Amino acid sequence: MSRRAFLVRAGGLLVAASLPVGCAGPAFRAPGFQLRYFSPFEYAVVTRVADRIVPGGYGLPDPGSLGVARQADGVLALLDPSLEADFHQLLTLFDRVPILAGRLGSFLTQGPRGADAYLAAWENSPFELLRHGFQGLRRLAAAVYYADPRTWAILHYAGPWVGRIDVGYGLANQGNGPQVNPNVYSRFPA
Amino acid sequence: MKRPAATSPFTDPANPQVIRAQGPLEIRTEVAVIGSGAGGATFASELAERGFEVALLEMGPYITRKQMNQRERDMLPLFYEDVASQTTADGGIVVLHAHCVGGTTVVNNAICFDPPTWLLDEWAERHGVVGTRRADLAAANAKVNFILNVQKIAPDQVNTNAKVMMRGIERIGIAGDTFHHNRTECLLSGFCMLGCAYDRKQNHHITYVPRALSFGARLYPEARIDRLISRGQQVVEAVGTVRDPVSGKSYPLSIKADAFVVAGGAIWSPTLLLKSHLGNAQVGQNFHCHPIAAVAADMGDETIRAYEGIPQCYYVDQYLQDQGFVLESIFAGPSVSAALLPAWGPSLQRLMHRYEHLASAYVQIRDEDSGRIRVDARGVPVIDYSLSARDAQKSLAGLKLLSRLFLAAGAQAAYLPRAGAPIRTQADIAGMDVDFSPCRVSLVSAHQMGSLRMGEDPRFAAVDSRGKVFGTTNLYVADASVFPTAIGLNPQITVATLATHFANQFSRPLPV
Ligand SMILES: Cc1cc2nc3c(=O)[nH]c(=O)nc-3n(C[C@H](O)[C@H](O)[C@H](O)COP(=O)(O)OP(=O)(O)OC[C@H]3O[C@@H](n4cnc5c(N)ncnc54)[C@H](O)[C@@H]3O)c2cc1C
Repeated sequence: MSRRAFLVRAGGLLVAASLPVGCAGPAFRAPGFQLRYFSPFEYAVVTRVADRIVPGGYGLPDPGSLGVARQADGVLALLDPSLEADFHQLLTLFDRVPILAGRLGSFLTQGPRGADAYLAAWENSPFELLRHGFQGLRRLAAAVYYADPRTWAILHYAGPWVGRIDVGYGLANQGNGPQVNPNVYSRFPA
Repeated sequence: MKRPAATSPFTDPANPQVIRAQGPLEIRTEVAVIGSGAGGATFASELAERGFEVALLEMGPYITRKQMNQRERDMLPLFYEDVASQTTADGGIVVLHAHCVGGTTVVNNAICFDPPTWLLDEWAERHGVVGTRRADLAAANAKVNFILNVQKIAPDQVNTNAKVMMRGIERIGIAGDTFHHNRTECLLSGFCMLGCAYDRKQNHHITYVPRALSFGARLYPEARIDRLISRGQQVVEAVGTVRDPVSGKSYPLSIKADAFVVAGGAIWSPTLLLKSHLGNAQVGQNFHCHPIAAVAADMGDETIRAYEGIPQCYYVDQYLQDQGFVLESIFAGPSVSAALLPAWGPSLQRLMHRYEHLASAYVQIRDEDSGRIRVDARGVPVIDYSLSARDAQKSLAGLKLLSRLFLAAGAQAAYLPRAGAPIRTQADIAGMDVDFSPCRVSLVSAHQMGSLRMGEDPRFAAVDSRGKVFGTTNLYVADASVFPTAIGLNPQITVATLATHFANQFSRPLPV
């Protein structure tokens, strides 16, 4: 979501984030599967963010049924370790500094309308850093949700050809096409 | 009729010239090329063709069409840096580039522009670059076009998304054209930015890399150079790590060579020089990235399915020289589209529900103001770049034009890359105001350049007009970093042309 500067630039705010406001991490029980990147607390935050960013509707599945937070956990586990730390910090900051969102209580204590207002406050914050954080969360939830094939039918998006359309070499054998460019190994007629 | 399967041994990762590390590697070669993208693979191939002993080192994996399944979920992590989540330090611009054999070319949209004469003249006259005028580069440019088999997109290959743009362009009375591209016998599947599963897009991993191997070069995938070690002005060794793709184990890597060519792209090349304390104060400065701002147009009842066919077919460049922007048609898969649309909650869902009725194009600016690449305490690059006010004005002019052309084409609404109401009327266009401060508008960079600019005066340039790093005797750069300015146009042909030109002028370093 960021380019390895979030952590540094968030310095002062992180001090605030360490204050005991909002929901404390340890109160969260682990989901019934192994998390690879998130703590149970972070998993709860991202689950809630996804509920608000990609809330279903229009015949689209709800993010809980797709396991968006679980899939996001898998994506973040692939990040370069130096970037990983940034996202952990963002999630802590996001939940624990309600004052920045002009709200009372942490993100996880908000009802649906409060959660939307909390997100909107980050989105429109005068602080560039918070807008940056919001966009990182928004893009993560939206990208993971719409990468899931279960959202595609409503979009009339047919999805990949691979495994579906035979281009002449058999469905299971798409990697067997010919070299079609005649010039790759040719002498350039200078 | 079925055609025979590919037989070239040079596109096979099992080729003995593709080195799999199963322990620490110590290499001795004549020329070590670091990075196998548009610049590095071209340079390696040209030198190998001239008889040099070349080792081509690439930190990304060797991905072939067999692994390319056209799913964003699998391909974005496989190819793109930080799963396509990298941004400028201010968070304002999503920065896309790839790490794999073939570099970013493997995921690019195959648009081909020759370096224009006015640009090369500008580089010579205003930036003191010597020997890169049109006439100097003509042969190199022609060879690149030949090897990549560049041709114009045929009328029957133009997708519906581009046809909407063409209609709008015609109705508002401006001029556009179909792109030249480096695809051969394209099947029009439309997944170019996730790698071509059919090898029809003629990217460097199936063109210049195998060509380099056919002339005897050796390829080292997953070989990452972390530091260059020098003695005086001479670089003597490159060190890093190499990973065995089978076991997943990493090992130390050391390369000794007579000459080293850095071609890691405009973010990683200056990073390597900075970490190695090589070069002058210009290293990392002058970073440009062609910020892109897209408009998504809801075409009402018209079914567009913009994701079908060649993703980018049509463009307008008549404003490039005087107003600093081009317009290009574009579309992406649902995951990338949703991530880049500036909406969330029910408004995102409503827009995505209209996915098959959306057409899209972007304005790409020739950014005059620049940023810089620096390395943080963890040794990773930070992109200090923020869109300047004058560059934002170019983007705004382009967004107005795009909105006009989409409304003329019949759009019910044109969604700008910022939150808020879409454009529905000419009055909306007249009153259009976009706040370009970071993270208030959705911007993307697919072209990074300029962070090791060339020229003859080391006060203003990091490398000379032949790509040699100032203050060194045997270290060269051959990628998009060397551009003295942004170019406004899609850069792969200019990168490969300059790399060919540099390779043509390369001579064996004198023994010290
Ligand atoms: C989505 C997308 C679409 C695009 N479409 C087009 C298009 O249609 N037309 C066009 O002209 N351009 C397009 N581009 C841009 C174009 O592909 C790039 O500008 C071009 O590839 C840059 O060439 P390069 O040699 O500078 O870097 P790259 O091609 O990025 O190659 C650099 C390589 O060096 C490797 N590397 C870096 N550091 C090290 C190290 N320390 N050790 C070992 N290896 C290292 C990297 O892993 C990478 O593979 C597109 C880009 C994107 C992201």
